[in-house]
Amino acid sequence: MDISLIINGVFIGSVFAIATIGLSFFYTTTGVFNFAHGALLILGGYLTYTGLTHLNLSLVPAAFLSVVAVGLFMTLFYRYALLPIREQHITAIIITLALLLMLERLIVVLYGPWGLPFPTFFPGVVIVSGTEISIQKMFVSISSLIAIALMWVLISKTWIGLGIRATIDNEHIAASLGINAGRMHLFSVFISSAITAFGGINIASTLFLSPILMSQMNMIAITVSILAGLGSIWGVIPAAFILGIADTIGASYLGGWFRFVSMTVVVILVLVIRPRGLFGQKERVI
Amino acid sequence: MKKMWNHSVLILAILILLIYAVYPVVTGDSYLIRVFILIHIFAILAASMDIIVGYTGQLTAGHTAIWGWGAFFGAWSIVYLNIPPVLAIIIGGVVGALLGLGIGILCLRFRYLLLTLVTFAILILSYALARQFASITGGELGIHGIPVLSTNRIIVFYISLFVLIATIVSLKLIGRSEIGMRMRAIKDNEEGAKVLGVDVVKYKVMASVIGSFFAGVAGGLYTTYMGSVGASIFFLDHLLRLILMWGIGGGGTIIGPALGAYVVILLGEYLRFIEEYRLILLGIALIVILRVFPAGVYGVLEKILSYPKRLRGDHK
Repeated sequence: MDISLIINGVFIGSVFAIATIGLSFFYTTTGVFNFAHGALLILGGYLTYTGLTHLNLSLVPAAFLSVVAVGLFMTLFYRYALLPIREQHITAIIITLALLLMLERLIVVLYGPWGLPFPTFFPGVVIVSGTEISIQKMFVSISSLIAIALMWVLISKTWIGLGIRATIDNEHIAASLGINAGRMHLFSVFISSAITAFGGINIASTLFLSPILMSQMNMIAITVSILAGLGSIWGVIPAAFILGIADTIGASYLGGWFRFVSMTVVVILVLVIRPRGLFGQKERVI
Repeated sequence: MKKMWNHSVLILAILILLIYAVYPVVTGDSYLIRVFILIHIFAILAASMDIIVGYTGQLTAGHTAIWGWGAFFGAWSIVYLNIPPVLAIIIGGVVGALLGLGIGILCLRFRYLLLTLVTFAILILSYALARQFASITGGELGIHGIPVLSTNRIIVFYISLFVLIATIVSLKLIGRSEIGMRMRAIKDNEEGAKVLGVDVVKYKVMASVIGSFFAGVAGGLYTTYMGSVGASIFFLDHLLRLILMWGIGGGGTIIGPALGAYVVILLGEYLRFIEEYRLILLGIALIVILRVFPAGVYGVLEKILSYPKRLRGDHK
């Protein structure tokens, strides 16, 4: 087995992981499945692009601004459009689909339907045992994992994280214990959107910016979430790597459309054989 | 609903319908006629989706997939089996019903979210399959030159209008019947319905079959009108627009989503000058409507038309 295949698989896995963690966190806390997740991903990349080219910022401020902007936007949207009606599942899902539609159109209107180049900030390669590894990809993998680790620390070790976890477990009881569930929701939405935007920047830097990526990444995030099981947050990480490595290996042997078809097949298979997913537990108590 | 359909409203509705029906004969073929034909097709789709989503509460993202397969099978039956276009529509419906049966049974084990995800995956899988087996589906570009219902668009207008009316009438009758009542019970509270003895399995699958039948019919209509069908029929765009129509029109009333088709497509045409912003505006409209007027356009109409009665004080 080729070393480069495994390395690439790890890289793809980390990309899948950061692309999905926001989605699973969003759903687990709020009970709303954010179909617009893919849009948030590429929005992070696009806003950074604007920051770099039109506002002439350097990478870090541009990235920071775009992450905060996406986080704020989604939080406000959630606050006014979703929070009040989150118990009506059908309506909530439709609203996120509408958001997906609108954001996609907005991006096409503002940036054009074709791909945009995203500057590579860490050019060059490193030679390890005879194979080339792109430094940019290494940076992306490591920074994604660090971001996820930071999020883990935030959720597990801080007071806010405790409040969020309480809300996830049982919202009503948490509320009766004095935890403002709505506020916890807003925190979670902000955190998940922010890390999603960050993931988008990473993805853009190793691929490119394009509206087509939105549907693809959306599908990937959905697939990983389902494989992991909708009730678990951290389960998406192993699931992401499994899928990532499988995808890399499969793509090298079957190529092209494989990725597209395989994602949907995985979703259907998992839901038919084991709807709970790998790590899912009982359903969310809203 | 009883508040609304008193005699004067009924007469008004029939009058509007007559004017609408006579319009094409008076004005002849025009761009508007073509728009209306498309509206008819989508109205059938929206109304049929309503019996699944609005009545039993199964939010399926696969409705356009069934529509697409109905279109494809209709096309294949014409091209390979030399079946006349009119029958092809029925074949589309039958295929739709079969697919609805399969999907309905499959989705019994899922509630809201997983149901939507599975049907979503099925839609995307359909697209991938259609692209993959380009030899029989014509791939992205599709099959062309399918014999149409008629080269005279006015005839197609009437045929599609007829099918639309038939669809709405049948669905409305089902909705008003005991079957419809049970379906709505399932949507409101599935466990409660079970306790009251409603056979949830039977009615969920029934709704799926009925709705999918009409979706397949719409598919057959589509391909015999356009003369072509391709993998692009499975695009997410169609699904999202369908959901727009359903939501804006007012779910759960059959007529509402059909009206929604008129609203969305006509607005889309009038707003053509702001081409790219159209969908953004419609999306915002949908969100606002869902939050402020959940009953949609139909609900607003209801309120307006029932004012006289309520002013007179004899509303129950």
